[in-house]
Amino acid sequence: MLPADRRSHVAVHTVQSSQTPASSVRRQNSHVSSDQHLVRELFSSARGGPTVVAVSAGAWHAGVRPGMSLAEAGSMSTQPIQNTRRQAQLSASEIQFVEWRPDDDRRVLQEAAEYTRRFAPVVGLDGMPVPDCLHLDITGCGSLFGGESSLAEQVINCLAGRNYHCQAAISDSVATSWAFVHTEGHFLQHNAGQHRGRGYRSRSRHTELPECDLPIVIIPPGQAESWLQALAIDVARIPLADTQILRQLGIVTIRQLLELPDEDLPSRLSSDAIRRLRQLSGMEDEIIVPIPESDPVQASWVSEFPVSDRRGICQVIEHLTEDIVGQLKRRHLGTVQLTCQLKQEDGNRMELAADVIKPLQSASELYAVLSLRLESLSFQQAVTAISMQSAVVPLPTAHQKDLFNANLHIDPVEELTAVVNRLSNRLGKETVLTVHPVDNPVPEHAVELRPLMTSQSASAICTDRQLTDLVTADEVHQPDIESAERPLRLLSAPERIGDADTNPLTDGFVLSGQPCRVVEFIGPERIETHWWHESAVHRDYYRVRTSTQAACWIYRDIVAGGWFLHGMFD
Amino acid sequence: MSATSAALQMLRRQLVQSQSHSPRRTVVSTGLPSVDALLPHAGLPSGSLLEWVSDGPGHRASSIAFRCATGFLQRSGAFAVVDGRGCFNAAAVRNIGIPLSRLLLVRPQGSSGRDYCCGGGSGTPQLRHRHRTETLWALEQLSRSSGVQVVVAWIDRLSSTAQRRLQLAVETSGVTVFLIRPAAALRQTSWADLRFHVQSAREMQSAVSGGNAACDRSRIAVRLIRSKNAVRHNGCAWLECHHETGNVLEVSELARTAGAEDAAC
Repeated sequence: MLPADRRSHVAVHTVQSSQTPASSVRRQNSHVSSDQHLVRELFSSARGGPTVVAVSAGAWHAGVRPGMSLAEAGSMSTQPIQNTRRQAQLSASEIQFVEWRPDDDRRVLQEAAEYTRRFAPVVGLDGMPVPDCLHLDITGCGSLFGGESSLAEQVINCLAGRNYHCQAAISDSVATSWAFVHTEGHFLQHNAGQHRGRGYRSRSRHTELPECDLPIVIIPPGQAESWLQALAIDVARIPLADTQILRQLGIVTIRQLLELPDEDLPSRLSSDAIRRLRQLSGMEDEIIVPIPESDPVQASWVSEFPVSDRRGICQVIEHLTEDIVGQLKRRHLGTVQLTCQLKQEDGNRMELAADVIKPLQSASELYAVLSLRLESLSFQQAVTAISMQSAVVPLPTAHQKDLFNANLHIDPVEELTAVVNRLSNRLGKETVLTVHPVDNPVPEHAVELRPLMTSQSASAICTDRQLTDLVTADEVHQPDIESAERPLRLLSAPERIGDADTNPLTDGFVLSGQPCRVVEFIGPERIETHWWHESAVHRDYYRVRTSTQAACWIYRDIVAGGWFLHGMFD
Repeated sequence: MSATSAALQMLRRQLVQSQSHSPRRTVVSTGLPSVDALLPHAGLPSGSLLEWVSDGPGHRASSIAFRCATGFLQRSGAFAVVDGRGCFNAAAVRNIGIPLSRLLLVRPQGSSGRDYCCGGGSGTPQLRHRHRTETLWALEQLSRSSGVQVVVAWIDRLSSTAQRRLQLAVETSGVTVFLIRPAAALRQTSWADLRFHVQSAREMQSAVSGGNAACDRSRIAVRLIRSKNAVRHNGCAWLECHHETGNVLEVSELARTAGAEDAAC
């Protein structure tokens, strides 16, 4: 998305920028290094010296190509090529080399995003290295612009008026939209392909996919997978190294990629590639990280008479929360995070942040969550100013409540959301967990505990799904009498109860400070990991009943020796 | 029968009826007929506080409590577990019949994985006090939420005030709270709707016959030792553990008769 201009430009990637001292590198944003990493990965010449990353049409006609070293491109500029009339007209000295600065590109893209704000409440930058597209969450916005296609057309026209020539794709996932506006792959990848020579032919577009001249693609809900199948794997956003592996295996289309068995993927592909695949197949949700608004939702309070008591501070915060919610209601938005800064008399600032699991527009609920965070703060000095800022997101569809029946309007999901908000803010996000099974024989790793409230939880479909699963009534589940029993209490660190030369099954052991002997045992049950695991486990487990009638789970470490108490059948 | 005892019986019946007719209260079967037979309404009342007292670690009080709570899964609402000890093994509940997708685990910070039964808690007294306060706070918050159906928590110390607050919370929200407590709790006053004592068969027989009776070691006795309003508050149900899987099952009628004969001998 470069503005059309009359001069010929060449963007140059310089190795110097990556050879800056470590201290300055640390100051750089992480995305800059990922941008440079991608360029070095795509263009081998970029590893040795300055390299051309992108060229304008004029420079292209002069023979300059992306991936050329600067020296090679510079030599072309001193030897005018006279092959065609267009090149003859171009004076070599007119080619201008400009240092490629990824941050500048992002800034320009963010400026373009500002033009699209009126079309969608959430506008975000592409999360890929060297981003070249914007993501707009247009959920529920189509009707305001005469339909989604009309909205897309207006966005394209709006940007075209500012010399941006765009394509648009509308779908129910970020990954699918990205794929349909990058059917030739990422623009840098495309450039690199062109540099490989005239023999290069884009493998992105499969022959089965119909050619379409319109710059707008609308994928009907639920049909993303069938539409994606014809595309090449370049559109899956997986790292280049993984793409090469897949090509070596003969996997060139998304259809082939999605047909791969899930259990084979971890051994062949990187975790990043697997995450991208899950996003593409809709198994993992991806949210649009909003670009901060130039006109944020905020409120502040300043007083020449400092407030020292907690009640006074709470009153001010309650008032500011109501102010914030008023602004949100006017803009038809919700919030997922309130950040509050309290300035003390000595100039020090205290920060308070309250998160909610789903977008809210209720002053009372937001204040309830904030006040829980306030309880953890101790005010040594009086407060002179308080400012509050809100992270905005689109509000989910509201459900009408019943006027006459007090119980009918109780929605278990909403009620659970409220209690999770309170618990997560008072006790910490990592204390409220959901449980997910893991295919791992080691007892301490048999399940994965994931915080319900994460930084990406707001507006995420998977969080909604989890909350719904938690409250949805089930059929009667019969106890699983086929699988081996596991103890309800599992010690986080197994307790040593005997050395390699002792046997607690015959000699007894000490439990809760009291010696006891084993009166009955069942086992061994061997639990071991495969040899290629980093921390291999080889254990023989026994279910024992002690003379104190306690049912314990003990094991013998086959490799290291020694006996351990691992759990209790409480 | 004297007029006084007849009047008392009539009052008890009315009390039971009035409780069962509460619109927010329903009765859920434990799935264990012998335990159901102990209970005033032949099942566990929803929106109630249920205490399960265990004689010690490894006596399967928690397993039985979880087993009895599975009946509540047919109603909407999360199955919350407040793991103040930090050593709850969520993988084990699959065997009991609780799907992991229904499980909401709350593990307050400072849950060390060690508790009173396995070498004592860690940290300073202040930290332990804070941890206990946070665990209780989490339990109360979950007990007040209509988005939750069942809460299971291991609590060693619980003041009468805290119990009363919990009782009011569950009566309002309809949440059923299963409190699993150590034997020391038997000396405390209870505000629970039902209080069970889980003992191993040997301990139970020792208490009855002075330790002379032979018994099946895998058997577990569940005694109802308290019922709200003193309605039918005695009785004992016999359960046993499956030899291979360890699941808690009903003792078959034949085995029960044989056991009773052994005990009588």
